[in-house]
Amino acid sequence: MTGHSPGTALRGATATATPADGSPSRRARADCTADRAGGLTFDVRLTGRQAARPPADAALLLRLRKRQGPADTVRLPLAPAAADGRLRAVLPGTMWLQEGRWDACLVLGDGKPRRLLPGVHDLRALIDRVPCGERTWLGVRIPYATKYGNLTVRSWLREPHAECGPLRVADGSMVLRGTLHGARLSPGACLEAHPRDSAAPPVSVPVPLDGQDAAAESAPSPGRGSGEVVTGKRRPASVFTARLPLDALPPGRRVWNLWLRPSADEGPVRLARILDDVADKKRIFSYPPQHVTGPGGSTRSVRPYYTLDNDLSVRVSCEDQG
Amino acid sequence: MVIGTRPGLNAHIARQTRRGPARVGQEHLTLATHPARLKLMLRGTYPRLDAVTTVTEADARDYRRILRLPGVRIEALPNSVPEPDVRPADGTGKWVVAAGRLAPAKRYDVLIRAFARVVAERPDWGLRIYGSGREREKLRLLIGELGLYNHVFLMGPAHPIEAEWAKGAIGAVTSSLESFGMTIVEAMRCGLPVVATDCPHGPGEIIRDGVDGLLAPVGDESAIAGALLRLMNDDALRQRMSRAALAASSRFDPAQVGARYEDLLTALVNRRGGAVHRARGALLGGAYASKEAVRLGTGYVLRGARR
Repeated sequence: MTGHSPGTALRGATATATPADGSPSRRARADCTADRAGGLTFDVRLTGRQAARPPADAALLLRLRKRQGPADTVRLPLAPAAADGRLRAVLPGTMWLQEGRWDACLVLGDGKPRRLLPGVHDLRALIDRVPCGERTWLGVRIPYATKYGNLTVRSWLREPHAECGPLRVADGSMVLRGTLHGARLSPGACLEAHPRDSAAPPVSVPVPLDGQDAAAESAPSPGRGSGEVVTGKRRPASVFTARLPLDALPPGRRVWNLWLRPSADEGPVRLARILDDVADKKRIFSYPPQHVTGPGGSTRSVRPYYTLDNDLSVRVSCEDQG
Repeated sequence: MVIGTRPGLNAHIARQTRRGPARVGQEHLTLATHPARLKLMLRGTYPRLDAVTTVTEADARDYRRILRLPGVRIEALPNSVPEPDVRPADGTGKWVVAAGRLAPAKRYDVLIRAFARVVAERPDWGLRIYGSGREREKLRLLIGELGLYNHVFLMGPAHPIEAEWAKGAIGAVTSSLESFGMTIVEAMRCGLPVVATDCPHGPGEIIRDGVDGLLAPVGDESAIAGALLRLMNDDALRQRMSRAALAASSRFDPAQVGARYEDLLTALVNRRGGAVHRARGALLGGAYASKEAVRLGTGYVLRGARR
């Protein structure tokens, strides 16, 4: 989706892509379909000789990118599915997958794993996903095309999880509506801003209880399907509205990470927006900067944004730096 | 059979093809947007072609009326869009989707301003605009200025785009100028009824107003908003138009357009007489080649023609 390099996606045909190692090859593509339970189905289109005689021992590997050490690997067996010769592998919603970026590879028999190319992805089931109630953790997996045109799956694993909804910046404050999954708001709940450089103390503002305690959203926001019925046992969930006065963040150029603490006794939950089909929100969700005037007359610019991990943060800059 | 795909190539073909092969010039833009010097050059060279194809009937009428091309067959053959690789939208996702280059002629500013009126009545719907281009920053600032940042999103480029159309329920095209309106056909093939401005050239020939889409005057925010709200507020109408859009847009399938090309090329070859056998082979080879180019090219080569 975003970040996909043009020229590598000829519809209906496998592209002749040159991988980073320089060898020209016809690499296989995988079409990904997401389901409402957080699962992903990969349909791999083989190329050339392999397509004519698919090997018996084929698998899709997901390899976690790590800064150090060998990559964690998840091996999903590939089996013939449709009559068109594609091979299918399934990453079930019930399978626990560590948070991070998992590169997708194809391995045939005892051959070397080859990076997979993205195909046609049907991610409509991810939009406005209501997490199902049976598990104790919330898993999100969104496949996407890397800047080199390869297939990677971004995974999030949160328990509990604070999902951000509409965010309004106006009148010197930031008002965020959202849903807390896997925990309940209690008196003493607060919104916390932790400075990334730890040079300033955290800022905390209380979050009032809405009086609502449901898994459904309160006020309308775009894209919600009509009346989705959630079956199964419901996990605790709370709708919340948090208001952060922007002058509560002291002057000084830094980034503040936002957290929601459900009660005085519980740990803070990172505020993030992950329950949809957009793997990289940073450039797409854009909020206008607000200008705050300090007591000395100096002004600073305060602007919420989503990080590369789709977590919510606020950037405070000096005015002349925007 | 020699087929050129742009004025420069067409002029070479007109001037330099030896006696024998049929000469066809394709026009993917419009006569109306060709500069005066280019029109003079076409007037001087196109009479030597056997046929000129345009992508809209309106452009074909311009060629017949404005350039004097006696004996040249002028025919409108639309761009084609293959059947998408995803199943069509089911119409329940409350998203309006637009896609194309973020260029001034696309008038996404008009769409965004119209959407401000829509959100006032239906805040449960959103707008996704896919594409990249030099207007991006300007549009982003407009969204911020109008306070629409929770409803209107600049999604960046997406390949393939069908997967994105399929997430929406209504398509929107608000250009002031088009040469064909390819995105309208793409959206319809994914099952989206499209609200489009009736700009030159194309949208009015693709959409049947009130049946498989809605047309609005160029630049008219109120009319565009009204059309979007009409489809949002009437689920049954939206579903009916979605089915009609899916059915009607099949006429742009490469197989159908390819067959029309075959008819044209057959007629040209027969008109020239000569060795029918060899010509038929060349014709079918040429037609299949052009069909393949049309199939592969719709998302790639012909994209260059979409202005």
